[in-house]
Amino acid sequence: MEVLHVTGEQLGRSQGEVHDGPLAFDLGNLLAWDASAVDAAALTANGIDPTCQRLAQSIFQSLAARLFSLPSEAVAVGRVAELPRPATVLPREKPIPKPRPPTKWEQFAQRKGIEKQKRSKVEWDESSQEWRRRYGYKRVNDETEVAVIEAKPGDLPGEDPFTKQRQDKKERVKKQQKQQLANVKAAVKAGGMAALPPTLRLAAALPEHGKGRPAKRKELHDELKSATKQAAVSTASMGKFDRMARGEQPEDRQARGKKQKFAPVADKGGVEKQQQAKLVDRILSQNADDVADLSMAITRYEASARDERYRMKQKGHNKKGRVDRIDSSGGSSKPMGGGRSGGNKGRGPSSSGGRKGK
Amino acid sequence: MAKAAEAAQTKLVAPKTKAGKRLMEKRAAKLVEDPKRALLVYGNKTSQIIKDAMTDLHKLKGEDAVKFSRNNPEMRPFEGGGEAALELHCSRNNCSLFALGTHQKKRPHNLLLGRLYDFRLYDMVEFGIRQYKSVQAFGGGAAQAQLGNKPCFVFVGDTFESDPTMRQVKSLLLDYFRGRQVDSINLKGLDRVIFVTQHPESKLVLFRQYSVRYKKSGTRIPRMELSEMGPSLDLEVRRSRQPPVDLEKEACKQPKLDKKKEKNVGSDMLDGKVGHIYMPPQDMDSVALAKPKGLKRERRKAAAGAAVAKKQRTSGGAAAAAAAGDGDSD
Repeated sequence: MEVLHVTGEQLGRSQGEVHDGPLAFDLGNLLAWDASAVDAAALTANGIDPTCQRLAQSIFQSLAARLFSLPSEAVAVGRVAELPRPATVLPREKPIPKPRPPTKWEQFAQRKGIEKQKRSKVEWDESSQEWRRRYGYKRVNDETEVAVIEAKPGDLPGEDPFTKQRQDKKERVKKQQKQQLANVKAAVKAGGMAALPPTLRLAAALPEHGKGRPAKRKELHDELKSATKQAAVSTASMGKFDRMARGEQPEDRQARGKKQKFAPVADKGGVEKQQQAKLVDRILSQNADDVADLSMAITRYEASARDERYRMKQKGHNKKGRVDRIDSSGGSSKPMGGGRSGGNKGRGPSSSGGRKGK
Repeated sequence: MAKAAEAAQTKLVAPKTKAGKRLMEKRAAKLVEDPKRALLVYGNKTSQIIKDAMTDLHKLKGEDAVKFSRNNPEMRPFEGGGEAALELHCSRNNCSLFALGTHQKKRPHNLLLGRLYDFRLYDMVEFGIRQYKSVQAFGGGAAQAQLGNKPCFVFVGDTFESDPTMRQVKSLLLDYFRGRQVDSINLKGLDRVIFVTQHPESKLVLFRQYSVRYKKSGTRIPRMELSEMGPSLDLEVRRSRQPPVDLEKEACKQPKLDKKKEKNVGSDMLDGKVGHIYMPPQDMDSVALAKPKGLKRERRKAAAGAAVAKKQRTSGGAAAAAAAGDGDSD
């Protein structure tokens, strides 16, 4: 009888080649790391891609061997292996959430030993003979649902109890919101912004209408002062006959702002005559065509001539478009006007100035 | 005096809609975090290689990536204050990883991979793509690998321990590709292997990805056969920025995890995961059914007829009463 030896390879089964060398595993991250140096010669000899593939295959075989030997349980879709915790520490994306610090009531309850009572969601309502919820829409004992509110001995005649109910509710809601805000602020103060619940944010807000106050003491002081002054003058007689407060001066009562000055009816000392004459002179001098001031006329002419010369020099040619000679300094010299120094290049006030005619 | 100085008011801003509230709770900080989302943006100028590489990275990340289509010249993380736009967009899209692709003469085919902690820039490494082969170029190998599965990682080289920049590269690539943190894994789902090494001479980071096929072996552990599926990248490490020391300490703090008992979750041999839905008792006689639209006219006629009949009854009754009254008076 012959015995046939069949190898696994002949049957088409073979185990993968195992990688030799130190391997570090992080099974939680499905990571295998070969800490030995890479052989450059091997890479260049066989080509980068085939070498990488062979290396990857062998190392992955070892990794798979490790993973398959983890404790696992069979599930309908396959075999589920229980992974250990990841060994490589990677940075988180968000800070670790902190538990919310206890609110004011929670602290009090803790101190006193008060425990939360579990309450039923529905209660029996006698009036409507049905089970209604404890709070919310169509609740048990809803005081706003009654048609008639009987007057109590302490009620004032003008008061409307229905309005009072609505106002009380609004006040309670406002109080609740204020307390909630205080609790959140205390939590943020104790634990930083991480202690905020994820859905809430604290934002800067404008103060309520009519309730804002300046932050700095000096501004507040000034505002108070101006307000008291305005109040003092806001009477029928503009504060003239009202009693003075302690520390108030008569100057504070005086009306602020421009006061209209009235001249006396009879013109004493010719003041009015002077004013009128001044006015008339000014008007006439502005509109007069015949020049009274020769000096001003000369200055003006010289200034315009100076500007013209400067302009020509900058342009490098005269009005007719011809380039001036290079060695002519200061351009064309005009008979009029003070001699400009040759070196005076800037357009600043001329050193010689205009000749004043008398 | 202190009370008078308190004029700066704070108010509580809460979400206005239930959907908004749910979104904020989803994005809240958790003990065990969701997989990091990546924001892929282009810089001032791009090249075709960069565009292809970013498309591949986007596809590899699947649901957890957001890719912007326009060029963003103002995103310059290496400049002081130039990371503000990046941080803003990342916080808006809930992304803690980013990939910025640019192309300049000085830095051709530049790929900047980075991370954020608490939506502030944490660290980044700049790569230059020297050689690139996309997933499509490798043919249909990628079809074997399912996208939601976690890939396996193989790192080769001692530089990943000795060189701080390479340590950062390893950490970044691990963070980018690793996916969800899980306690257990289905062994059938090991179908992708990411291979990273550094060429000892050229110092290029070689990035390869393979898809896995299981072959029979004589033992319980199957023989793994790898075939390259892409992308294949040869990366040159350019600039990098290490995280600030205090931020690193805070970010690497790990929380203490206790096994939390989940309510209403059980597992059945046949059905798998089961839970119970608790319903209130329903009165089948008075349950509100959908009205058939085809019978609308009939219903309308019937309602009109009923109204007329009711009117006749009341008016007839009134007429009868009036007649009786008249009769009486008469």
